[in-house]
Amino acid sequence: MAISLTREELAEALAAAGRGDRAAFRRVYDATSAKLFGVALRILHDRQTAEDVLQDAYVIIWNKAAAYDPARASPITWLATITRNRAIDRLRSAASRPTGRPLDEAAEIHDDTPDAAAVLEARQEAGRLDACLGELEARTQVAIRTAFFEGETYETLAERAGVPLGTMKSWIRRGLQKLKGCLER
Amino acid sequence: MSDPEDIPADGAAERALRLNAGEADAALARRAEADPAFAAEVEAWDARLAPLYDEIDPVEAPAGVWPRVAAAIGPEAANDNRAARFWRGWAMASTGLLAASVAGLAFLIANPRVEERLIVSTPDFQPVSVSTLMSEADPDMPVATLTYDPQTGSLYIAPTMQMATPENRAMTLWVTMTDGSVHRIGSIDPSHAQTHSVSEDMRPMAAEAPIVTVSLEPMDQPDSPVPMGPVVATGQVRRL
Repeated sequence: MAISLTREELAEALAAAGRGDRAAFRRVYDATSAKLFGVALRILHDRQTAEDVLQDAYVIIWNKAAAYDPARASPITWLATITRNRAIDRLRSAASRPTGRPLDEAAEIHDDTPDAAAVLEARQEAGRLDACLGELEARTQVAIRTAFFEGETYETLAERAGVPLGTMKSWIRRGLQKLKGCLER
Repeated sequence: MSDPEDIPADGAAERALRLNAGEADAALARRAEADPAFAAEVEAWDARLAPLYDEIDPVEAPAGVWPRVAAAIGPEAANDNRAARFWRGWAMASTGLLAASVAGLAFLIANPRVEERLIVSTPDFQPVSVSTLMSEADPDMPVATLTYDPQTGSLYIAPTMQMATPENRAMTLWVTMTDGSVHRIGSIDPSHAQTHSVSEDMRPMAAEAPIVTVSLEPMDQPDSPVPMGPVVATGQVRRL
């Protein structure tokens, strides 16, 4: 029952939800739950946990909707960020975690999917972020993308890449500096 | 190899990407709460990284999620009181009054961390079982406290969070036995504290069950022997 809302419509529905309008909140849910479930699943790799996190995220969204400011963030970025953060909280609070794959293997898995292949192609042409990420060293790009998509920390990224923690921090910090500079050009 | 100390950390970027673990990450979160300028920097990084979400395909959310969200967010707008939605003041002040209204039963505020010291006892107090039902949406959030007196079959349930019941659904209490079997106790009203009399045939099970759950059941299947709807709260039973 996914419905499509424009950015403005979604921002308006979110603002109405912030005023306690449950029908508007339902529209927000219908328009965004598939995307947010995808975000939770991408980080957690487990449907049941992702379902719990999705439910949790929407309760947080309902409670924070009044604070949403459309001048500061696009509505879908705001919603996805809440979901990603909640998924990462859940991932890190889990008593046991799946064994991490080596970083290189993870990168290959990304690249093997049809979606990632399409994205690789698009990276050359569209999107400033993709272009700027493309200017970084491959290992830095992989580390930043893995942190984003899998909620990995400096420590776990260093473990997965088999490099000292200080080295991983250097790669990422330098990469983020360059990324910011590139995006501001 | 460069020394990472040569490269200053961008705390906002680190918070947006969640690069730090544990306390270091929590400290950045607290800073964002307290410092609007830092929060704006974190949001700027969220926006810079947001195109990456385009790489994530949507996946249809399971049908059971919305009813649970609707149950968790509280009553319809006409009665909406968002400040009161989560905690309805079942604090020390109300303990005496409620204990008086359910003589013979333990009453405690719905917080398992403090329930031990708040149990009200009477000279002829009989052992009872107690359970704090925790929200499925937020396992740290108690939604109701339930106490049971096996001598009388009286079951007392005190909601601590106002939960809306979706249309055509009945909030229903179940017990799960050690063999995994599930048994219906009956419908409950999530809007106020209440006492129920457990049917004679269910009393032994209510006394022995290690787990209680609350689900949202379809109104047209009032006698289903097992839960058909989503579970919204679960609690472990403790013997007192």
